[in-house]
Amino acid sequence: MPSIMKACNRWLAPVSVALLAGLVACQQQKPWALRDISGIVAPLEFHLTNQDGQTVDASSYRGKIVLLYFGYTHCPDVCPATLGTLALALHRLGPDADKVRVLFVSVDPARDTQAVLKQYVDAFGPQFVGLRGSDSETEAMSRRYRIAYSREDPDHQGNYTVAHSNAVFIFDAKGNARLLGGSDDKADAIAQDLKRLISAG
Amino acid sequence: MTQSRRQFLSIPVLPSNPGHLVRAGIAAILALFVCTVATAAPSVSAANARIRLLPADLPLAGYFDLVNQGKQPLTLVGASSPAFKMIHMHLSTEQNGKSTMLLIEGIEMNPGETLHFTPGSYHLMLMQPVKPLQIDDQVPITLKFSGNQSLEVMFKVQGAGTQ
Repeated sequence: MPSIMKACNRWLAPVSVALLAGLVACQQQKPWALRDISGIVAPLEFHLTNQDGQTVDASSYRGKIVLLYFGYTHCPDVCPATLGTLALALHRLGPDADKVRVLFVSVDPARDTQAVLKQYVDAFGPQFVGLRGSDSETEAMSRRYRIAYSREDPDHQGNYTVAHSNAVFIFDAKGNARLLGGSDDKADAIAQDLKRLISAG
Repeated sequence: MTQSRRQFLSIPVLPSNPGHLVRAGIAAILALFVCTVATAAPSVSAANARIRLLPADLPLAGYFDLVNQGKQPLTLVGASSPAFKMIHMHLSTEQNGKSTMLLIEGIEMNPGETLHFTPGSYHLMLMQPVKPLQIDDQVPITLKFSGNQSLEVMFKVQGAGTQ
């Protein structure tokens, strides 16, 4: 009997180690809170002007986790609500928030001047960057990320709204597209995924 | 209010005593005032009224929760404020993968119903502020209902991260 027990132990030990390893592997592959877009969406690439008037491109943000969002400052509800949620998510990260940048790309460069963009992004936090380009540059970027936007007819005072996709694209520190969020995602869920991306380096 | 109305009805009963008449007259005026207010103020209450402040005179959003406490349906038809030259009621909605806003003319509330003006849904779009606002300011906005009823609500001005 004891020899059988020994044999069992010898046989069981490696099996339990393998099982444990398998469990750990499963935990690492737990689903993201947001949608996984790895390999589906194009890597980060653009040439635009930031709120300080500097020409920037994707390499300017290498080493940072980048959240890319398209919107316009005259949008009273969905854009600031989404940016507010992102600000709250960054707040949850503590000092690690500095490892993240939120790039707000204007789909209304006519009204979103550099000066307006600067005041706007400053209101949300130091990690927020306002980007604008010519109409053709903005269109090129919207095609790259398959972002739909359209300027609606102005009212008698010339005010108009811009219908636009509400996607938040998240890129890792190497500029690879990783996750997709939207206006319905909560700050906690976003923060949870950002922490995982940051810890993965 | 019921008591005031009774006093108002008591005037013709006491015509011979001038003192009573004066007192009754005052009561009548008071009763009229109370009744006027009662007719114009709907049985509705607002809570959590807030404005998200953005820089550069950009259009702002106003949010609140509204409860119809009356026994009749009530229709919210608009809003006005001395602090803004223009206010629209909007509904954010998604069409063909794009977020957009619809101008709303009226929202009917059934008795007991709560209506949420909240990010990504109904909101007041507040345009052309008369003077620059600051965080923690209290701004009066009058909500207008069908039947010429209205309710003044104080909105608290909060930061860009307002949810």
